[in-house]
Amino acid sequence: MTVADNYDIEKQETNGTTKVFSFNFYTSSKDFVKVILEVDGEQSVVPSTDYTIKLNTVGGNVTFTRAPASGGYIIITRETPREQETSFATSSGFPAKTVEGRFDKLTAMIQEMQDTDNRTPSFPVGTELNVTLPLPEAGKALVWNDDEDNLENSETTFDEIVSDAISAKNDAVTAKEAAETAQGKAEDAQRGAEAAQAAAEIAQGKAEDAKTSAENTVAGFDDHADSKIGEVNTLVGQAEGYATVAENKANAAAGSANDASGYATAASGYASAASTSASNAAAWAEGTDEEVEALGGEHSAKEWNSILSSSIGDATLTIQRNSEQLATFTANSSTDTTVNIYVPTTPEEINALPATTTINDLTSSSQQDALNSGITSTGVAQITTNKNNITSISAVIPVQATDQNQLADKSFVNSSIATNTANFIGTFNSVAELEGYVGPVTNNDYAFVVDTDSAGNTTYDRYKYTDATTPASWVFEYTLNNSSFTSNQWAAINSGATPELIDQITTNKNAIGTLLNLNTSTKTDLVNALNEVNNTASGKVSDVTIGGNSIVTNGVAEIPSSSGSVAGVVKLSNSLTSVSNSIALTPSAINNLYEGVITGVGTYDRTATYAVGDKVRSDSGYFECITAITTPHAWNASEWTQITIQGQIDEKVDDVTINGTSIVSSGVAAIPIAATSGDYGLVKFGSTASGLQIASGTGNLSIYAATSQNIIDKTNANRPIVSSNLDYAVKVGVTTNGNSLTDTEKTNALTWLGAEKIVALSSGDSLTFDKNTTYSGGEVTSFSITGASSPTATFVSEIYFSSGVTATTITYNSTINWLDGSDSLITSNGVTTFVPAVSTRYNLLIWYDGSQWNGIAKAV
Amino acid sequence: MLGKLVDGELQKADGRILVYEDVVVANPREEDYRKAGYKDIKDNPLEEMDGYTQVAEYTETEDKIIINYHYEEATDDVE
Repeated sequence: MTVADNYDIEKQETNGTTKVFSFNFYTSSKDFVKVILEVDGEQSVVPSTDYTIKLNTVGGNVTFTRAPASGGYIIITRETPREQETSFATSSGFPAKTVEGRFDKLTAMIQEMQDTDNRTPSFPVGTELNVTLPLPEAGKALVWNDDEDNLENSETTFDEIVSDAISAKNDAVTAKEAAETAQGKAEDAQRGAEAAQAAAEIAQGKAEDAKTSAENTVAGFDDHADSKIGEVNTLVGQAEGYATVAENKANAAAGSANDASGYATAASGYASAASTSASNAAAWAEGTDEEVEALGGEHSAKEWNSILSSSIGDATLTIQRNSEQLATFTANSSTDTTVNIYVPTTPEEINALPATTTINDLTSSSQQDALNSGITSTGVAQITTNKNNITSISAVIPVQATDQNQLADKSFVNSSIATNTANFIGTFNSVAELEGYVGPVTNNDYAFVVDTDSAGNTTYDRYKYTDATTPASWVFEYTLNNSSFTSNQWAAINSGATPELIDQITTNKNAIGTLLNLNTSTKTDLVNALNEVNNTASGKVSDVTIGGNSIVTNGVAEIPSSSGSVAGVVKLSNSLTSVSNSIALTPSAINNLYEGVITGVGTYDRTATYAVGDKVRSDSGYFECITAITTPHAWNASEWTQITIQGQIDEKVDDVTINGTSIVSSGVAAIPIAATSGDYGLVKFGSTASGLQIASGTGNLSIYAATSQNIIDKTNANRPIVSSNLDYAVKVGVTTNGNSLTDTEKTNALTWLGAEKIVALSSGDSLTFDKNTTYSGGEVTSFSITGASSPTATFVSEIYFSSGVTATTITYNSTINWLDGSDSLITSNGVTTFVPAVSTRYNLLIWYDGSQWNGIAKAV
Repeated sequence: MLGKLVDGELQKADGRILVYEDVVVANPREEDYRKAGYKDIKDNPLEEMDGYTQVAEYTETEDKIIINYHYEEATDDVE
């Protein structure tokens, strides 16, 4: 085929959506097509993997797999390999197609070279130049050499050229100013010369006047010739003086004129140089590229500014005060901008501020706090006075408590409160007993010794164990009056119950909670729980009855002797345990029976005493005592009544019944064994003692109670809990495994036990004194106290708290009688009140004595 | 400053003890005073005038106590 002269490189703008770009030039292979992406003037060859090419007879399409991003250009060009790969051998035939193809390829190469040539600078046709570029030198510009036939690097760098231009401009300005100065001096010289000329002319006129006057005088007034001559001489002298002055001025003018001439010449030179510099400066400043190139440069400053201006910002500075815009300043402004931000410096200026200005706008936060506190110099003085008063009060508080003053040992209280190490050792009947105590004791532990005061009231002296002495010893602290606490409270105190012990009781109670199903906490429920233990015990005997009547008294089931209508048992002689109908009731047998019935009846003993009913035997029969014999003596028949055999027989039973049913069969009273069918009968006891037992030696039936180990181990369930081990069972019941008590259960249990409880005290709390409670807290800002509506005379509560830098606010009933000796009391209008001081920890003791509320406040 | 009119006299809230009804408040705070019936004081003093003293007059509103003054000719103290 032929190749047209239509090799036009395609350059098409991308839009982000177009994927197909066409071209219209010939190429023999799509491998020769070169695709270039141009973005922001930067060109890069697109990898062939990013597009596919479809060739037409002439031209074709480039199809991108993904549309190029907008804002760039796709350039489709051709790059034919500059090689000839076809080998032509001598042949009879002309390989026209092959040769044509090779020519087409050559043509394509020529077209591509032409394209390259079109983009290459060249000189006008006819120019005879052989231009060779010099080797590159950093910062230097290409300039034509002096022969104007080749390019060379500039002598100085472009930056230096620009700098020289600026210097030339400055030199021109300086020259201009020098020329102007010279012109001024020249004008001054001209004016001096003109003045000298005028002075000379005046002198000449004066001289001529003098000459004329002299001539006139000589001619006209001979008589006065001498005097006139003198006058003439004077005038001449004056004329000469004027002439001299004129000469001097003329000389000075001449000098000035010479100077002016020199200045003018110099100025002319400066002006000429300045003109040149100014012209060059103007060219460097804003001349055309040709003008600048004539000076050895490339662009004027204006042109460079235009070129470079795209990289220079033009931001605006906005000046504000409290978001209010005061002024703006633009970086390229030609004039200065001054902004004065008003700052008041005097009270008058401050007062002149807008009404919306507050003191908070003018003061720091700490200054505002000081202003808002309202503390005046008077208040500060009062604080100082109060501080001194507190110090004085503190100084008089005794370190050691005495009988007359029970204020606490401050160091002890502080240490006790701080370390909480004081343990209650116990209550002793005497100091000697206390000092003989050999159990573990540590510093600050305390104990009570029971004593009696002068009025006969029982008192309790509190002793503290201190290692401050050598050796460590018990030291008396103060005495508590017995009436200060209820019996329950004393019991609680004497019990040595501590929070740790209570916790242990709770833990133990929880340990058995599951077993006993203890899910309530009242006393009644606890008793019910114990009954439940009894009722659920397997095989236990809850009662023993005969004929429906209980024979259990005080836990002892005592089977009565049979008597009258009372069902009971009889005790037979061993010799009668086997009775046979075959034995005839002969007098001998009767006598034997008689004696056997009354086995154990001895003969009368004159050394013994007898009670009514006692029986004795004598040779004449058997006798029963009818008069008590308290003093042994010889037999006195009146004191006795004879017992007849018939009578004895009459007294013996005719039948043996149980609950009205005879148990005699064939003359044998066979007491049945009790059966579960409901029949009455005797019970027997196994070899292992269970719930009931027969007391050894007495035959008495009694309860075989559970042993302590049985209670602990929960074994021998048929052994009941009785009065003697009830307390132990209760103790074990609340001290072994089980569920935890809820807080409410703990509180109720403590209340039931009469034990004191401790409640945390926090700021803002409202305390209602309805039970004996200790409230303890750290630094609190405020709290209130309200007494119970119906307090008991035994009510007492304590409060521990710290008053901070801002004294604690306490609200309480005005009827509280604060006792003398308390700390921080203030009496106003006849009312004495407790007012906490700052930075002080207090212990308040408040109680109701049956008629009014009382309080003691101690700073600790 | 808070205050309360008691029998026609102005009691200012500046003490360490506040007693009202059967309640004692030690180290009272502003809220305690307000609970006790104390109100804001609005003081409208006159300019000082030689020979005259200012006599206060109290007016109590729902939320404040207003102090207004009037001049009275000053009298010399009796020696």
